[in-house]
Amino acid sequence: MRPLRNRGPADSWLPVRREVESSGTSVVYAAVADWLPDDLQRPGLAAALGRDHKRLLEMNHVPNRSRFVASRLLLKSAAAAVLGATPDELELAYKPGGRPHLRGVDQLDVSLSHTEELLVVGLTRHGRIGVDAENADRRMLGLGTERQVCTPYELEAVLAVPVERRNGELVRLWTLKEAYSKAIGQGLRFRFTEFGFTPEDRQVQMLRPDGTPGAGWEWSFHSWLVDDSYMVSAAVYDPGFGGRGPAAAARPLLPVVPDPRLSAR
Amino acid sequence: MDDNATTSGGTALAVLVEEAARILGRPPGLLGPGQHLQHDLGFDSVMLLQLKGRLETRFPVLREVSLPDLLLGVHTLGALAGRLERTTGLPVA
Repeated sequence: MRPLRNRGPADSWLPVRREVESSGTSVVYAAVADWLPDDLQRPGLAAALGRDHKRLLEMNHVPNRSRFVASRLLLKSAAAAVLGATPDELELAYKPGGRPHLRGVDQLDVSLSHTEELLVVGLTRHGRIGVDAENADRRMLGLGTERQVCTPYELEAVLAVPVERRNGELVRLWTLKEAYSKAIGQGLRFRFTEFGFTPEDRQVQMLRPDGTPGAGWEWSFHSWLVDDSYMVSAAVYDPGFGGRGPAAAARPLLPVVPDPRLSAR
Repeated sequence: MDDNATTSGGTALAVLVEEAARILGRPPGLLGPGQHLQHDLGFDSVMLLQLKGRLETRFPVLREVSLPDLLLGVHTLGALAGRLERTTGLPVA
């Protein structure tokens, strides 16, 4: 799985639909500018955002406002495309811990993240998903953050990384932890020093603070460098109820139909 | 929610404003107790980690306090100052 780039409301959702159809999970990314309406006062935005519009009105920090609006529009469009619905038919709601979900839709789990100019949305029909993104060059090392983020095993592993890649490794671990914490609906509630991940040169696995394996086969973790700038991580929980392989692929969530916009290009 | 709680403690607030301003790269005079960390000031999760790290240098007892214990339910600078006072019980180092 690799994150799929979306270039705005006019772009095709067919690749995302196909990926959810075949593997059950897709991670989509886009630029804020591609999804930000020209006018946040425009008629229809309140309906498009639903209850999130009230939250928008409480925000004064302009970049956060932009990312908030654009990420919700991206998420609802992506989910609607996968579900065969329209964005306006979906209501984005939040669990008490802040975890987003589509009200009344239990066959698709969603997660979102945004940072700087990047939006990321995770979609899965298997179980649960969490996604997180940060600028890969964001300074985290030496700010007192590593002690709050890393297990003892991870601290040792981070220090073993060549100094020029050390900060990037910390960013990768942070996004993995945020992604997992979002998937389980904890967000910042979770103590990040109580679980860890494998060093950068190995397949990503969850570890206990001492470095021994810590999560079951139901979980899979991924990290990618996107647009040469952003570290994006995803945590996916698949309890296996839906099954995988040919039998599962033969039971589509919704039929994938050709996108007429593709033939027009 | 803590935002409705008393936010007494000018000392804790002054330290908090000073450290928050340093992270934001803004003059402390532009920050006030009623400002929402995320909605008004643009704090994200990494900045909150950074803020806790800086506050630990001023209130060493905070090293024993987890990030969620310090921040959960707190949204404004004033509420966080109140939480700081109650959590540390110590004068500013």
